[in-house]
Order: sequence, then C-alpha cells, then structure tokens
Amino acid sequence: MTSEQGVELNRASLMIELGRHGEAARLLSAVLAADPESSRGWCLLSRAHLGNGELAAAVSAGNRASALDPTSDWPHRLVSTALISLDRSGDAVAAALQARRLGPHFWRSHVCLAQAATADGRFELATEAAQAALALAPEQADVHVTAGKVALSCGDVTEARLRQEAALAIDPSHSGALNELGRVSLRSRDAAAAAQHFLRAASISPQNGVFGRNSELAVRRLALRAVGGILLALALLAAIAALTAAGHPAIAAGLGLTEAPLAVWIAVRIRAVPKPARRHLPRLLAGRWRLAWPLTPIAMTRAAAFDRGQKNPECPQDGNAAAVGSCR
Amino acid sequence: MDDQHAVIASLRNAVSALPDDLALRMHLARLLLTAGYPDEAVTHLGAILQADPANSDALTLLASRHAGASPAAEAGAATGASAATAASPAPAAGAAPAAGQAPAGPAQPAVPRQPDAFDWAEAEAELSDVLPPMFITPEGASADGESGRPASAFDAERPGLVLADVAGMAEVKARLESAFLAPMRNPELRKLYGKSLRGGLLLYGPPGCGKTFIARAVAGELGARFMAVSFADVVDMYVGSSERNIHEIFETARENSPCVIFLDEVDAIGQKRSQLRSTPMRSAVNQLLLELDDVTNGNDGVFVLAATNHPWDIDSALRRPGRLDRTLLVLPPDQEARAAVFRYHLRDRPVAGIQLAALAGRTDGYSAADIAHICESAAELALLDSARTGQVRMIGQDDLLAAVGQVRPSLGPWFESARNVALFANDGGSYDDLAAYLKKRKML
Repeated sequence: MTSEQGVELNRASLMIELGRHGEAARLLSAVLAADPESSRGWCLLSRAHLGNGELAAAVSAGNRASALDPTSDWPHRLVSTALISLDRSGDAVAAALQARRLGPHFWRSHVCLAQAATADGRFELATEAAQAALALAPEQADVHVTAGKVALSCGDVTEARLRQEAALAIDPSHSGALNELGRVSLRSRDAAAAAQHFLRAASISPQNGVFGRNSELAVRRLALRAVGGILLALALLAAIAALTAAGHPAIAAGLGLTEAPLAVWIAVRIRAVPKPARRHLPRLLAGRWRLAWPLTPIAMTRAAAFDRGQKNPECPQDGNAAAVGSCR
Repeated sequence: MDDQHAVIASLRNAVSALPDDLALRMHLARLLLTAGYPDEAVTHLGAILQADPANSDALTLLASRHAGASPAAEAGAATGASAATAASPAPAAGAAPAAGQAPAGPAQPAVPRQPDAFDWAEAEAELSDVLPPMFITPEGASADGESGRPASAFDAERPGLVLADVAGMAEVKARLESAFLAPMRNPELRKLYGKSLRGGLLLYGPPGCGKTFIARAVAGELGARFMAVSFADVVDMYVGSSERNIHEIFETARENSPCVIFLDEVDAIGQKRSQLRSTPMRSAVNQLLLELDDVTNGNDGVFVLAATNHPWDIDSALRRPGRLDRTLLVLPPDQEARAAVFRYHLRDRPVAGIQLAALAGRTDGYSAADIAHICESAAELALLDSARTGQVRMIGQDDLLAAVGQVRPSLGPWFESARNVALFANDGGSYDDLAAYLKKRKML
C-alpha cells in the first residue's frame, strides 16, 4: 500500500467517524479497486456498509478482510454485528467466538460476543463475555451498557440498573445508557422514570428515532392511566345525575362519595407525569382521541391493553458501535 | 429517398449506441450533408473534431460545407435546427455540452466568409408558428427565459451572484436582510440602534435546498471576497495539521477583508466533541472556536457564514453568543423557486410547451436536487421514446409529469430527524421556526 492510499484510508476512517458512511464507502471502493489486498481497507468498507445499513455487503467485505488477514479479530466482529441484524444469530455467535479467540485481551471482542450470544438466547455465554469485558475495561461506558443489556435479558433488573448507572457515571450524556435505563424502569413498572430517561436520551440524540418512539410509548402509558381515571370520574358523574333524576338520591350520594378520592387519584397521576413529558400529553392524547372517538371508553381501554401487551420499548443497535469499534 | 432516410435513421441509432466510433459518425455526416441536413452534419463533424482535432476528412468536409453553403440550405437548416439539436445525444448531467453544439475548442481551418445575403427576419416570420414555445406562462405569452436578467435561480458558478438571483424564498431573503445585510450596509444606523454584528450566521435545513447558493448570494450582496471551506477540505485538513490550516484560513480572510468565510457542512468541521473519538478532530473544533472568538473580538470585515443539514450535530460551544449564534432555516423551495429551478434545468434541453407553474404546483416538498432529477428523468423518457420510434421529439409536459410521478421527494428522512429534534431537543427554543413549519405541515 502506498502512502497516498494510507492517507485515503485515514480520510475514510474520519468520514466514518463523522457518520459520512456513503461517502466513505465510495472512497474506499476506489482505493480498494487500486489495491484490493488491504485488510484494513476492507474492514473500513465493512464498517461503512454497516453504517449504511447494507448488511450483506458488510458481511462480504468483512469476509474479504478476514481472508487477507486471518490473525485479525476486527473482521470477525464486523461480520458478527452484521449477522445479528440479519437475524442470523447463530452465525453471529460463531463469528464472535472467532473474534474472541483472535483478540482475547481486547474488550471489544468480548462485547461483540455478549451481544451475539444475547441475540441467540445463550445467556450464560453472554454473561460470561460481559463479565470478561468488564474485567478488561471497567472504564468504558459501552462495556457497562452491554453488561446491563445482558443482565436485563436474563431478568436481573437490579444488576441491569447498576450497570447503566455506572455507564452514566462515566459518560453522563450516553444516550444508549439512558435508553436502557428507561427499559429497566419500564420493567420495574415505573413509567414515569422510564419517560424521563427516554426523553433525556431523545434530547441528547434526537436523530435516533428509537429514543423518540420509546419516549412516546412511555408518556402515552402515563397519560392513559390518568385518562382512564378521568373517564371513570365522568362516567360516575353521569351515573349520579341519572340516579338523581330517577329518584334515587341516596344511591347517587353514595356514588358521589367515591368522586373525591378518585379526583385525588387523578391529580396524583397527572403530577406523576414528569415535567418534560407533560407538554407531549396533548399531542399524544389527541392522536389517540382522533382514532378512538366513536368508541371512546372501549377504544381507550383497548389501546391501553395494546400498549401494555404488544409494544415493548425498542433497543437501538447503537451498542454495536462498541463491538465494531471506531476505525483503527 | 426513403431508403436513404431509413439508412440515416439506422446510422443515427448506431452512432448513439457507439458514440466513439468516428468512422461511423463520419459516414453519417456525409449522408446527412447529401440528404440536406447540413446543421446536423456539422454537429457530428464537430464531435469528430473534438475527439480527433486533426481528422482531415472532417476538416475537409466542414470546409466544403461552408464553402458550398447556399441560402436554400440555410433556410432548410433553420427548420431542422431543433430536430438536429434534439437528435444529437443528450448530454449527461455535468458533461461538456460541446457534443450537441457547434464545434468549439479545436482550431478550425480558415474558411472564406460568404456575404450574408439571407433574410433572417423573413425566415423567422415563416417559422414563427412551426416551433412551439419552450415555456408557457399562465397569461399565454411564451417566455423563453431570455429577458435582460437571466432567469436561472441556482447557478452558483455565476460571478457577482446576489440575492436577486435567488428566485422565490422571500421569507429567507427578508430574514437575511433584517438580521445581517441591512445592519452591514448601514453602519451609522447600526451604531444608533446598538445592533451588534458579532458572530456568524448558520444556515440550516434539508439537503439540496439552496443553502450554499444563498450563502454565495449573501457574499455577493456584501461585495466581499468569498472563501469556501468544504467538507472535503476539512477531511484533508484532518489528515494533516488541522489546527494550523484552520488558523491559516482565518488569517487569510483577515488579510483580504472584507471577506466572507463560508463553512460548508459545518457539522463535519464542528461536530460535537462528545461524539468524536479522535483527538485531531477534537483539536480542530477547539481551534475553530478560538478563531471564531478572534473574529468576534476585533476583526472587522471578516464575516462567517456556515451551512449544515444537521445543526443538532454541531458542538454546542459553536452555537454560543458571538460565534454561530444566529440561525436561518432554509426550507424546500417555494412555488416561485421551484418554477425557476425547472426553468434552469430545462434551459439547454429541447423542450416545448412546458407549463412551469403546473409543474411547480405538483412538486411541493421537493428539493432543488429532486427537481433536477425530475428533469433528467423526463429527458431520458423522451430520449428512449425517440430511440424506440426513430422519431426525434421535444421533451413535453407529459414527460415531466410522468417523471414527477416516478421521482419521490428525498427529504423524508431529514424531516423525520427534524421532527424528533423539534419534539425532544428544542428546550432552548433554537428550533422554534422548524417546529412552526412542521406544525403547519401537520408533521408535528
């Protein structure tokens, strides 16, 4: 490789770091056309393809790099990451194991294995890899984030929370850690805390649509709890009026006694919505209202059930950056 | 005769398929001259001479064509002029236009000039109802865009570009005038009202909507020199000593004041340091901050403009007062601007009966780059149709409407990110204008 080609690879590396994956891929394709024997070039191209969402191309480029430099762990990490997104988790684990074999002292190899094993449902292997990464690089926020994800997948909510808080202690603006903390909070049925964490992640990395969707999910859950109570109070008022008109004041008075604690309950629910989330309530509720208008109480109830049962907060693959690393 | 025309048609197709085959093109040129298509023949001879300036056959034929040109041949050429232009291979975007035009560049042999005895006015009157107008305005009068002031809107290469060259976008121009240009043009009023000119101006908005073009127009309005620092320059700088180069740019600007420094794709130059891993790039951001502070503190005559598609990726320190603290949202082109973009990209193509207003109305939400793509697609449709039928035709309104149906606006992903920013990252109100636009378009 000539020095000019080396300069071009450095340039491509910087482009990737700046998120210019398309431009980097074009530059690298030109460099590799002139010198197809550069393992680093193929690794960078694989990384660029990953950034562009061109997963098959990323696998192909990674395999080229691996063939040229069988001793490097980097190509295997790239291939493993792409295979996870291609839903080939078994193959991803195999690639990650190869990366660990070639780079046993490099924390990224263990993070890669932890992610692949989690995707494949092999939680023991994932936990072992996460612990190894923590032992090697306790100062890396990404390592704690990955360890926390693994713990949450294993159902260990306490450990998951500790890991994400540790990540945030290292890097308070780590949006991935905030998102994970939101997921942990939802698992603990603390929608208010979840909304706060998701909203914070979204404000730090607004271009990541996952954080925004998670925020809306959490805020909507909070809103629906309050709305449910409001609808119940309205229904009770209607019933009280009807009973009074029908000549049953005693029963109406009895129902009236329940209104006061219900009103307090509604006020508590509304106050529980974090301040940053309150301004999103009208928009989210209006959206639901437009959809549910003809069958409002039934539809709102069903919508709440749908939210609880169907929609889970998303987890962006930003942790993959920890596995594939920046461009070296 | 029919046989000859059939042969010519076949040869035209063959030349289109094999544009580099000079012998084939030479044969076609000879046949065209014989068949009475001198202008088209000259076009092909020009293409041959471009590829091979010393081609003696082409030179001889060209010389004989000029020597033997008759008034009748010229009149015939006027009728076939548009067809000849259309029949030539349509130049690809960015390609040299010489392929479809009279020969240029290579030296031509000196030919004796014939006295001009041809009555051009009469010929024009004869042909006035033969060729349809290129563009149709709503009033029915044709407008070929050849008025005293050129109608093109996005020709950033034109020297002395000013805001009047930017069609439409009245709100953007008004905001530029009030926030930037009027104070600069009226220093006494500025002092009276205490209006500060410190800091730079950040243009942001979706890609392909004219931010760079407007920046150049602003520099033209100021009558200042213009130094553009692009992303490609930035990456070069990072590979070398970035800090020194950034300093050199600002020093050069100071020495050549009044000067506008235009930082294109400033999110690459000044990305959030928390998102950067490499130390050289962080150092570059630090250096940029220092230089901007120097501009604020006492370098009159150096103005900083910046443009970005992703303002949310810019380091917050760059957005603080005294630096790039003023922002201007440049939205997709409005109706008037879209019509001007269509006119610009169709000006050199064989078009007829184009209703710019209708096209502009159908392309709300399209960027200028999308409109260029539409024009390119329409040209392809007309070319393919011509090749299929063997009959050269103009690009018409139907071609453009079909292309509009094929080309989707490209700004969707940007507006998705923008929506998230307006919803979740607008606590300080930096993106209020963006939020207002999104609400108006029911995207929020």
